Amino acid sequence: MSEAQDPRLDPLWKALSTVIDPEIGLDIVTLGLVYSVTIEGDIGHVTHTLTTPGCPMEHYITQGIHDAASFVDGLDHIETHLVWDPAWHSGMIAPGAF
Amino acid sequence: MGAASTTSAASAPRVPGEHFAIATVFLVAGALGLVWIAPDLAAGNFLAPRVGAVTHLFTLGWLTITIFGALTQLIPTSLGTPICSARLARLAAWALALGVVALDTGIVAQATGPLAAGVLLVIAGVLMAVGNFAVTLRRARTRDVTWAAIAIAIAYLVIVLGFGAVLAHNLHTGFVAAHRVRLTAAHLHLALIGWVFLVIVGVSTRLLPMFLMAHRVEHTANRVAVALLAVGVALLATGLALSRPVITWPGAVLVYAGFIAFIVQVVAFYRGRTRRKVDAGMAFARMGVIFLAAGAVLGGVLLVAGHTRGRLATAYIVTVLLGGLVLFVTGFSYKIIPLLAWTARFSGRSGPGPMPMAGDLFSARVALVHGTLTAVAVLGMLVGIAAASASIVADGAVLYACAILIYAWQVARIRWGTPTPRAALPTSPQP
Repeated sequence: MSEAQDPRLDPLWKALSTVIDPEIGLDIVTLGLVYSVTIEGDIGHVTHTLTTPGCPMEHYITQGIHDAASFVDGLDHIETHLVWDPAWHSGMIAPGAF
Repeated sequence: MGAASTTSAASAPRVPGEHFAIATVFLVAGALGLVWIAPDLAAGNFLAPRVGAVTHLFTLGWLTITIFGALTQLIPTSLGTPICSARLARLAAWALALGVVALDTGIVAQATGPLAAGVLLVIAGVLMAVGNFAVTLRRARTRDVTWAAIAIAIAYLVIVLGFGAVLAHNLHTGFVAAHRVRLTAAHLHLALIGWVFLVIVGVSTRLLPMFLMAHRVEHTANRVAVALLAVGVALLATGLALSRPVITWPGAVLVYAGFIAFIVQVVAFYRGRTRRKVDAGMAFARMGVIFLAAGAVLGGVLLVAGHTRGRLATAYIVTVLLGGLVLFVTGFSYKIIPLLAWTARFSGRSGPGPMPMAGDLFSARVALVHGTLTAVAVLGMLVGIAAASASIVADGAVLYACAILIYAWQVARIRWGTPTPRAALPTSPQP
């Protein structure tokens, strides 16, 4: 099954959009922090970043991704990949979010 | 089958939280103390023992303990290394807190025993904290302007401690005689610029872009500010202590240049922000910078006029400490304390469903009242000092105390209040 057709992708994206940055008040998808989501077998891979290196919310957001994904049927577990390249900037926020 | 979840409540940020709680108690005590020392402030009697006692409630009890708490949170997240010893950090805070109580008791009651105990406890508390941070900084993976500012600031704190011990000893021996004013001036500037302001500049480099969402703004001006302030305050304090204008003036010029660089940086962050709305915390910080700028002007006038001008010196200290530093640090507290409390109280509740945000833990409207009241109170005290009116200063001090009590209530609300969970936010479609 190709990634684009995997029926679990849409629920996974929706689940990720319930993870809110409590300081900014927006979810991590709207903020543009999630760079890619793929599924291989029963494992979901979420490649994401943070607004800044050393963000105090790192633990919470990473944990939040795992917790949110636990509501998606058909996934055994999630692997998160924190990356800094490309560096996040405010232009990545969904238009009209603020 | 759902994905495996490893939900666990995030470890409660107990260490910084405890620091902020202790510090808030001292802030309230200091604000109430202002009413008590209003006659001294109106008379410009800034060397009166009880003025010194109340000043230390703000500088050691509130500012220093708050900074220690903030660093225990900031260094691990920003510089990539855990605090060397969380237990030592807590011990240092409690030693410092008990030390300030004993020190102030000794100063006010002119009792040698509590004074000596206070000095020893303060020295122990500060050295424990400084040692803890120094070892932590040595291990840090990131060595940037924030790292440098904190490292230089804690070195200055040790020097401040040395001056403080000499001045405390002088209280019952009088051994420094006529040099007391000069040494006090050096002690004060090392504390407020070398310690507190350098930390503010360093921490702002990290936190202002994060809180304002101004990540693309360069922070070159803050690098310049740290270098100028670090050299400038050394010269300024040396010149003041030795009464050598040839050293004092270059120091003052460098400090001014450093301050202007900081202002340039702060303006760049505010102008380059993505978040158009300035929230309560950032409004406080902006107001604090305005008071700091006013204090800098008064400091220049004082330098020209001579530090024997008691009421001018008192107005300068009130503007910088009660206006600038208190407002700026309170502003950051309105950002940091809710985040810590939110992490402790709600981070284990991620997933679908409404959730309060960090900013929902306190009232932004009440914060506005708090900020306005603080600014009006400081201006009132300054008018009273200018008019040499104890009653006007006392009125300003009462307003100031009310503002601080409002802040203390907000802190309690952040910790124990029941915020209304936000409805689920509209989200963007997947990319």
